[in-house]
Amino acid sequence: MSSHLPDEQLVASALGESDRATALHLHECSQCREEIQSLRGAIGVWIKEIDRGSGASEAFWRRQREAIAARLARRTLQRPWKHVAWATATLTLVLLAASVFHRHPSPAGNKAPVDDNALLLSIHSSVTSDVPRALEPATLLVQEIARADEARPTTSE
Amino acid sequence: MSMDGAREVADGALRPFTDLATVGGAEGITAEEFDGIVLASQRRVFRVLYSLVRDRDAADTLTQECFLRAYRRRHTFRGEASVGTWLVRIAINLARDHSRNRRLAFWRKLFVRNLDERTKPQPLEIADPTPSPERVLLAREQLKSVWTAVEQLPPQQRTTFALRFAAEMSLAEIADVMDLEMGTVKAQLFRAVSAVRKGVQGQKES
Repeated sequence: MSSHLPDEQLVASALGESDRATALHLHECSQCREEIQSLRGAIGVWIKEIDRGSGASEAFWRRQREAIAARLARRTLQRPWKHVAWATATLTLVLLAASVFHRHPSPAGNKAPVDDNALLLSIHSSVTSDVPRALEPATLLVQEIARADEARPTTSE
Repeated sequence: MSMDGAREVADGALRPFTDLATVGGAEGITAEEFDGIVLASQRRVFRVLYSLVRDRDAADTLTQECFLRAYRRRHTFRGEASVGTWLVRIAINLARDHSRNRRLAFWRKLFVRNLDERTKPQPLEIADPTPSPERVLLAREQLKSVWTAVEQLPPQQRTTFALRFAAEMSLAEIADVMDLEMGTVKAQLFRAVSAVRKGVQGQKES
């Protein structure tokens, strides 16, 4: 046998993926076969070690379940107190905010309540007025000038 | 116990966890039902964790943490994957956090004093009923080289390797757990095994 399988094909074969040509080669080439066996053997030893490490007694698994259950129970017991603590903290904050707000009311709170009648009158005047509100100052100025003209004595007399 | 075992337990007095999503989610699961899930899956979760952290005590603690986290986040289980897949996903995340913390602890220790003997890997024992001394030695060396190679793999390759060979999951299951395409899983596994092969070869040559 002149050539051996490339690394990729060796790994693929070790993973159980070999095409017909590779399988034929492996049938004839003991060196490649050994190579694959060696790799599988090494991984097999590792799997055995995992088996050994995970192969605990039933008592170990029972103790583990009990530990999980105990931690779960502890957590469940702690939970309502957590809620109470959160609720208390929130309530305290709300009360604190309310007291601060009560002591320092906002500037809007100082405003006197608007008289309904005055409001209605202002609406009525703006509706009945011929002049738009924006031009009212100009109108006043015109009226002033007219009044001044009337008051001035005529020169012909 | 496999996931078939989980079904056996679940089919008895317990409601199958895989069906919880269809009956209103895992929110209202009772302690007894949850205990059934633990009974059905603890071995597999432990196996995955042990293969990733290489420490029995840590794997034990993380297995407990895995189930507690699953219980805390049971409202997030929507039944799109099986409970087994969901639990393995949680286990992988825990193992990742553990490794990160261990790395940080290592650097902290390094700055304080030289690395203690205790941080070195545990001595490896090979369970073989009638091994010759040469075989024991060879197996020990092989195991050492595989562990070394596995520990040096990038996280994704390492997880793929562990799920394939330690948890005996199919490529489709691994793809589901890791949220990857099948082709990606295959490529990751291929690279991981190639790296392990190189490690074993290197050990043989030295």
